[in-house]
Amino acid sequence: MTDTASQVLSKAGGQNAPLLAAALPVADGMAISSVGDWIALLKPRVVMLVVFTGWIGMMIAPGHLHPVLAATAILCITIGAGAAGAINMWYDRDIDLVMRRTRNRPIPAGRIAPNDALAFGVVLACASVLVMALATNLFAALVLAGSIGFYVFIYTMWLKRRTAQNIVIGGAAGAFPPVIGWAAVTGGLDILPLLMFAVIFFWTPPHFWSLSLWAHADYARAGVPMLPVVAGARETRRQVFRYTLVLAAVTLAPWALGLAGIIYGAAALALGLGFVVCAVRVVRDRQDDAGVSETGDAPARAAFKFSIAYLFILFAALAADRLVG
Amino acid sequence: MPPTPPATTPPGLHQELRRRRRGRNVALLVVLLSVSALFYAIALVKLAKPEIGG
Repeated sequence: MTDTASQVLSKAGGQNAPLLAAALPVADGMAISSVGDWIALLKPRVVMLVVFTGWIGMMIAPGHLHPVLAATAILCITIGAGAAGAINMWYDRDIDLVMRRTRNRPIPAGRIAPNDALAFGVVLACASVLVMALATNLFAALVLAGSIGFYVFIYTMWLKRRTAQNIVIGGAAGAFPPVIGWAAVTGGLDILPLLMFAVIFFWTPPHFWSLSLWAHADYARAGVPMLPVVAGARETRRQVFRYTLVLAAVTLAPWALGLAGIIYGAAALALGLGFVVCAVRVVRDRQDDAGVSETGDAPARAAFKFSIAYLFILFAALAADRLVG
Repeated sequence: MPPTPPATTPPGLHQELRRRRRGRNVALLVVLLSVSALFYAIALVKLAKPEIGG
């Protein structure tokens, strides 16, 4: 009994966590959670992209911010985004339990109590906004607060379970970081950070819908109206293609308006063409009459992977342009 | 007061729970020290050049 239970414990964080919780009759979530569980609440993989785009926004902004304050601003963006993720996990704990992809998260697995997760998220959110205001300026702090509020209230609580457009509108939440980074340095706004916002805004639908093409069974089980669940895979593939075209056009705007140089322009053009090719393959994927892929959604998986590299390289090119220019 | 496993809890589980609690406490200590250092650094920078960062 002891050995088995220890083995179960050693695997906690994995699929045996509910078993572990059951093996400890008086232990609440706090008793069995590890540091890794609390970090997992912050959705570190999602936060990586947020941090990167926020950092680029800060890099390309005119002006100078002391390195300590710049690092603090990045930390605030990181913590703020993570806090929004924690509150999202608290609110979505019922559907996370149903979906295979998310049922091992700390709350549905029983390793962290829901109220503890909520308190953790709220405290971190407030702290990140407060420190941002102290270290940089009030405007940057307000934009950070707005992005957290948008993700929690507009996307998570309002749109996600009600409309297939959840990702389109809710995607704006992930588009704030470069604006926050810019605002931290300048204390204001300009066309370039707004264009960066637009790039991430139009990037989100093809990125996420590519994922949902092969993960839609999970969403259907949880009753989340993702586009493939509501409109079918065939329509989702068409939407991926349309949004990719819009994205490719939007990414050229900074170069066309003279706000970025040739490095960025060439990167945007090449990456845009690459993404469009991926989207064409998604649309032309071999499928049956119901739109179900006969290739295991291989083109959608490829488009999803490409979309991640796409955003990293595009924003890196923008920064390189500024450094060289 | 942190939850204490009952006397009937198997020794292996008890050890593991203690290890996890200790890990969380150490992490909290590191976070608190880091936050203190961060506030100190921000104060130094702001006092030295109050105009930076708006």
